[in-house]
Amino acid sequence: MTSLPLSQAPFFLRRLALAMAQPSVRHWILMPSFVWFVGGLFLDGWAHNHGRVDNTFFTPWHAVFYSGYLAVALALGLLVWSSWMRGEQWQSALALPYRIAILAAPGFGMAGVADLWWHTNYGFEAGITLLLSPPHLALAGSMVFICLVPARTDDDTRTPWMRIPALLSVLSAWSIASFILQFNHPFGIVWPEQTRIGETGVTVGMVGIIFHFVLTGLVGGWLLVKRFAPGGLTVVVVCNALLIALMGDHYRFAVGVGIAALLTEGLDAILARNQITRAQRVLVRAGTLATLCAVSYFAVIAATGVLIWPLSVCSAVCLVCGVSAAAAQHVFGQQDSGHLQN
Amino acid sequence: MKTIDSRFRIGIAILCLSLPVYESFALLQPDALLQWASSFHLLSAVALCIAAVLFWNTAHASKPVAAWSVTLLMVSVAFLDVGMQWVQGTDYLILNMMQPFHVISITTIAWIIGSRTAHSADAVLAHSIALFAPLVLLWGVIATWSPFVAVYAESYGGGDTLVGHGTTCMLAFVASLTLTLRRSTTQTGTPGLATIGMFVFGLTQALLSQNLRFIPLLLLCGGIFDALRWKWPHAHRLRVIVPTMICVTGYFVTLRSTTIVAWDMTTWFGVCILSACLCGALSSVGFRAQRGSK
Repeated sequence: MTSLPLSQAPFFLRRLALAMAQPSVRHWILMPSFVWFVGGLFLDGWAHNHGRVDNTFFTPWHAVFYSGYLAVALALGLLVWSSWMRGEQWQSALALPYRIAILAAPGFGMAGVADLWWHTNYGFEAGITLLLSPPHLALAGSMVFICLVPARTDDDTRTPWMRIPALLSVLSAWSIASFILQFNHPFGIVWPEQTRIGETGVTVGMVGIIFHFVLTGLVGGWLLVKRFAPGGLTVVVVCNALLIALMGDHYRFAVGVGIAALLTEGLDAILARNQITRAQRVLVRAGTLATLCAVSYFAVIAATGVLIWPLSVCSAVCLVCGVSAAAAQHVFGQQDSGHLQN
Repeated sequence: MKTIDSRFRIGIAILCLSLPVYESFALLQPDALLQWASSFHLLSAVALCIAAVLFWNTAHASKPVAAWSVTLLMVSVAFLDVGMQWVQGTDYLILNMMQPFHVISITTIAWIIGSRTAHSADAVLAHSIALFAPLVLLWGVIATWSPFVAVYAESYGGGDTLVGHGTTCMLAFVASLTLTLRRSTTQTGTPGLATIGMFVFGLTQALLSQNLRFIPLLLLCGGIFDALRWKWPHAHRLRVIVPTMICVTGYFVTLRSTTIVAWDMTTWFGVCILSACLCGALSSVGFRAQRGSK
């Protein structure tokens, strides 16, 4: 295919094609479609969790979700078009994460068709089976690859404002993972106010709390490794909590983890002023964030409901969260990411 | 710095490693065996004190403050732990293990074995212990959450709650195995490292569950890791992902061949895909901050 000479294109299209050679411009063009896309997913999840769906594929929630996908496909198509306008091959002009996203977009479409087929033939599952059905996991997987583009092509020398799409990209990917793992998310089912010692729910709840807050600690550590500006962690943690809260209407926890994230960022600022190296601060941040999130979780329950679990269990869970997050961060940090390339 | 015979060091490491696992074993048994748990508890505390002295011996010359602090912490935790045991008695397993003093002491043991032994290791066994001890210890003390002990996939009932719990436990195991293999992948020159490590892990899990069925699978995973390292020494990510995925899929295959998988195929297929995603993400993401960077 021969490219259209840039000079012959209309002024607006010429400016657009040239501007899209800049990664930061690309990120800002992609970002609204990503927000629509991920917003659609959570809207659909909210509808499923609140009985607003019947046994049909064609719902208003799916309309929002799949139109978000069309917006993403359009934005990615714009990237390919702009490369062509500049006389470049997108396969060589765009970085690997873009190329993966461009391939993941039709993959998502095929998974959507497979989802329609699945529901037509196997009906509409409920609960965990719904989340873990192969078409849904394929949809989620391709969404993650698409939404991670700004984060994977981010450059930490850019200004904080220009890195907002990368921050939202991290939030999107993490929230999609949380959505799929919502079956044991502590903001979905609040075990500490529902179960007593000796009941299965206690051990189920403990695992859910530890798993998700350790993940939160690792996300916090990664944001510091990538040098995101102060405040970024709090925004990501609070928005993720609010999105997950949509599923079970437990918005109160967003306040708790928001305070936990702010305290963690405050501690990090103090450590930075005291000449503590970034590697050590990352370790401290992962452990502190996981611990404080767990502490805030129990504190919010105690303040707004009834905390049935004994103090010894709550304190142990907080401790395990911090120790596990710091240990995981330590092991991860021992290897260079470049060392693990195939 | 005093020199300590490496065999003594390995012996202590094995002792520290095995006692909490034995304690788990005793606690998993019917009430009649709870007295055993108390005995093992006491022995664990003694082992912790010995480990503390060992740590002090090896570290006090280079880092005197750290050596004294860690040693004092460990000894006091050991005494407080035993004291609490006498006051409160033995709790239900997971609450006992999650007691704050246990968490601190077990973490310290894992850290000492994982860090100090790794520096001094000159034998395959010591190397394997250093790398796989945290995995063995972790899934020994939280045995009721281990997919190889509490096999949620073969139990009906409980509905979504237990399926979700079983899935989370499996994902937690995948994360810990990925971390262990990712850590092992940078170690060089120790043939059979993962095979021995996974075999030891399989043995402790078999002890806890009193069922040997998963040992061949875990041995196979370790063997594949070592084979991949020998055949393609630079394929770091491949040799983390392949054994982990064989472990997860092999888990369900083993279950199908030895018992009935209660979960429907969609669920266990979904768990395999989720595990692959988690393993792929954890083996790819770079978490390293540049040294000396402010």
